[in-house]
Amino acid sequence: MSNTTSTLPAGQATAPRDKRRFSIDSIALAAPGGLFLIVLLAIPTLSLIGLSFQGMDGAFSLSIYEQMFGAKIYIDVLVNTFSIAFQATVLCLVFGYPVAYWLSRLENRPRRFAMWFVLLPFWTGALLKNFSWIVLLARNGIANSVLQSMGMEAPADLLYQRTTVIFAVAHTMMPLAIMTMLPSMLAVDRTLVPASRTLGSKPMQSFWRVFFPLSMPGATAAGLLVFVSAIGFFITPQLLGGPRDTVIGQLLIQQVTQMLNWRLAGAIATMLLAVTLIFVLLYDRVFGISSVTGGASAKLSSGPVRDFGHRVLNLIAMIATAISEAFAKVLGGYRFGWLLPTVAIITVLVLLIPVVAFIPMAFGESSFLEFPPRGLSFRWMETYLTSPVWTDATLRSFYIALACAVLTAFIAGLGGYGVARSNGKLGSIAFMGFMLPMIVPNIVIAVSLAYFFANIGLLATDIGIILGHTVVSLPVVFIIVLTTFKAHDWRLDQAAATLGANRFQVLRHITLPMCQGGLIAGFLFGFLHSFDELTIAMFVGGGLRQTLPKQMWDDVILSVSPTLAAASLVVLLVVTVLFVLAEVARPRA
Amino acid sequence: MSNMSNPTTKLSIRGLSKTYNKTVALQPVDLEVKTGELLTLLGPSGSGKTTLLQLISGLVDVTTGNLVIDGVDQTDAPVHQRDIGVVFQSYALFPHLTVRENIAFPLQMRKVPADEIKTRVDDALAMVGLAHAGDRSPRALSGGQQQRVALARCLVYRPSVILMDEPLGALDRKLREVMQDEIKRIHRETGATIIFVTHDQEEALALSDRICLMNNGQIEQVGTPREMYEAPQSVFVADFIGVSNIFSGTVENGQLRTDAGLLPLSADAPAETCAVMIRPEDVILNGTASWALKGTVVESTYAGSETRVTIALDGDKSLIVRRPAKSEDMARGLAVTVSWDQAHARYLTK
Ligand SMILES: Nc1ncnc2c1ncn2[C@@H]1O[C@H](COP(=O)(O)OP(=O)(O)OP(=O)(O)O)[C@@H](O)[C@H]1O
Ligand SMILES: [Mg+2]
Repeated sequence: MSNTTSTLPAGQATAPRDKRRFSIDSIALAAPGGLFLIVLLAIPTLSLIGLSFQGMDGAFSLSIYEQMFGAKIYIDVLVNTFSIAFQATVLCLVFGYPVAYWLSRLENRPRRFAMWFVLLPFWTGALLKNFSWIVLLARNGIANSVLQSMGMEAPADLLYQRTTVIFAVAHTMMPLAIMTMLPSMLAVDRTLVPASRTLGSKPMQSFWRVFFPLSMPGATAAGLLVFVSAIGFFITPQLLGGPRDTVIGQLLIQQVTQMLNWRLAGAIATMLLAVTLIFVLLYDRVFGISSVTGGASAKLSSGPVRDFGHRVLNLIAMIATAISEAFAKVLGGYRFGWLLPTVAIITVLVLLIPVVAFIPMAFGESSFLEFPPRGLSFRWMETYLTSPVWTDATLRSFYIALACAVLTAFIAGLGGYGVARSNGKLGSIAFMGFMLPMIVPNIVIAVSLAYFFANIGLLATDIGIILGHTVVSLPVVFIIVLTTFKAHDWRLDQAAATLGANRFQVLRHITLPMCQGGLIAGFLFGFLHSFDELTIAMFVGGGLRQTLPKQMWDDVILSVSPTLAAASLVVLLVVTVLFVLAEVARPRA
Repeated sequence: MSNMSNPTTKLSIRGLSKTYNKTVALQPVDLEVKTGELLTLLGPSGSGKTTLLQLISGLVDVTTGNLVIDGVDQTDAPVHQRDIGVVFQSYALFPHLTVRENIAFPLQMRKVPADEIKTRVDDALAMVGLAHAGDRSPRALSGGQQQRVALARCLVYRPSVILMDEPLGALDRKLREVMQDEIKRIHRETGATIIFVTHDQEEALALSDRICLMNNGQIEQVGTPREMYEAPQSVFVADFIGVSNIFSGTVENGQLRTDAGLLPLSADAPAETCAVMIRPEDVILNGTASWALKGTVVESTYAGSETRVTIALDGDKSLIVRRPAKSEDMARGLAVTVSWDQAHARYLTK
């Protein structure tokens, strides 16, 4: 009697333990990713930070920071960086929001169609678009001709202006902002706005008091991501800015590639990272970090921030309503339907201009880049295809991207599966871990890796670049794989198991075939990410291992030749084809 | 002209229709809703119930026809200016606002003073029994509680017409019955005119003053639950409401020729009769009438208060009979005759 009662609880006690073992089991698949990120992200970054706190003799010292904050030039650069990043972020939000809002209101089919035009400039990368601006905004470029035909006297200096830099940075980051804002807008229940209308609110009130606050998680996440990317961004300031627009990124390039001053580079990277972390923490404080991923909570935040937010919104709603009512009276009704599509379509067109402008330029006849090009010739295509420098770089980019895609898909695939299958605390920690390379500015990762690789002999090797590219493409691929696995109906696997399939058979016959779209998309996006990546290639390639983007960068610094346009066209083609394939393969949630 | 309409008419719909691109969601319909009545829109999926409701609320623009509320043409009035409350099937509670703020929303839109808002929100919360949950997020409530909040938010500004689109569709059976009683009580207490969409005929019979049965974007018949059940005007209505046995056929010298045989027609049956309908409780088994159909028992199901017997007739026709539970068992295969009192038969002309 006492025997049976004592075995029963013991038997029950094993049940939950089994369950826990199962969840540890699947999250263990995230371990390779964790290890990878510890070795190639955490250790390099921390050792570079550590270096910045050492003196020449290796003892603790703040001398490098004193030197940095003591020199006016560094302070100026800091101020430039943050002011450009901030203004570009504001522009991205102000113009990106209407585009995302417009997209969110379209029916599914037209929306998918319209999204191509936002995604294309997203995947063509920063380099191409900024090359294009150089040509378009040049003193004798098309922008000036248009301005002159509208009555301007002398050609304006559009290049090397702060305004132009801010515009082009915002232009580069805008697709990221739109793509980040859209999901939370789509998640807003479509009946809420009509519901508020039946409750007596005017159109403007419905927007500001119902839709807008509900779309905030995406908008603030977009603000954070754009700002963090923009403070490490150097391409636009270098290409389109003057000496007074120098930013931290350029300083880092100079210190590392020209002066090999690792301590100062470490100090700059540390500071960038610190500022980024402060912003992320602030964001987490106010909005909760989970809103980056669109997680909705049943708890409403309370307190002064929320009250203040609601008050501000109510005020905006009141003003907007007054304005719209006044116009409605003049127009005899709420005839503003055309306004949103107009603003959104114009914005999207502006996003597309520099991408599309490249196509004819590659076939120009003259020996310098111009738009619109004169004559039609294939000589620059030919130069590109017959020059070993360019073809070597192209081939190298191809196989580096391929290796990176394989590695990334493998690590992210395991990690995504593990995180999707676990709902414990470890799962969300692993999630955060995989997202880290998105939060740490790319340039910090690049410098840290360069330092790390220099110490272990991987600097200026293809392997080094592959590893670096894998680090930075992990978050995007991970997210794609994770959403795929999360959308998968795991009951089908259970059904297959009851029908006699073992774990491996289930994976092979059920899970993988059903999730293959997402996995293929992840693979292609990993490839794309590597194929037009410049920052890592610049720092880790050490000037010896030229990838195609790095070759283009060097070319544009020296001379903007039409060969560049030919190369860009190749990139554009590869990117478009792959990205179309990836988008088609990718399952829709 | 609209002033001429009956003073107790709350809402009057004339030739209202809706076409999306080329699909006709609602054909031109006419409907009068009386002040203070609870009318249900009943019909199968896709029959145009939601469309009609959206036209009344102004959420979609009408294609043709007009809508008069309280004698005033409201066809083109903006949504927020109509004196209408809508309860959505998905509740449509604002997730970024607390329960209390949700209920206060329509009052704020109407610029009601803050202290009055407070008392009215308190009253509304008390009315639906949620006084304790005012500061919670709607997401933290159960389905039934969310439904009550949606109801409170609609009642708080006392609209004179309330539209409900399958408000109970997402609730389980038990909760649905509780909420039906709640809606009836609120209807009694507020005297509001309610238009209630459902595709559940039992719900419609239980709730309504009148039922408006829709099919294919048209109104089939409008009437009290009793009229709908006892005097259906078409095969569709007879079939949709309650259980029915329908024999369709053609009139031949005072009789109806059907697959199951010749059926007698009473003298007052219309000449264009195309079907006879008889309710299961009106069928007589082994009766003494001058005519009868022969059949065999296929199945007999005991259901507590009654027994349902299915009988196979000629021409692959089957017939359902309801008998008091206490009557003797009918074995499978037993040969029987069926007939009915002519007074209970309904003659359908379409
Ligand atoms: N926005 C729309 N665009 C095109 N067709 C529509 C639209 N809304 C409704 N319809 C069509 O109009 C018809 C009636 O739809 P409605 O939603 O009114 O039906 P319902 O009776 O409410 O059905 P349910 O019981 O399924 O809610 C359907 O055939 C539907 O496909
Ligand atoms: Mg409906």
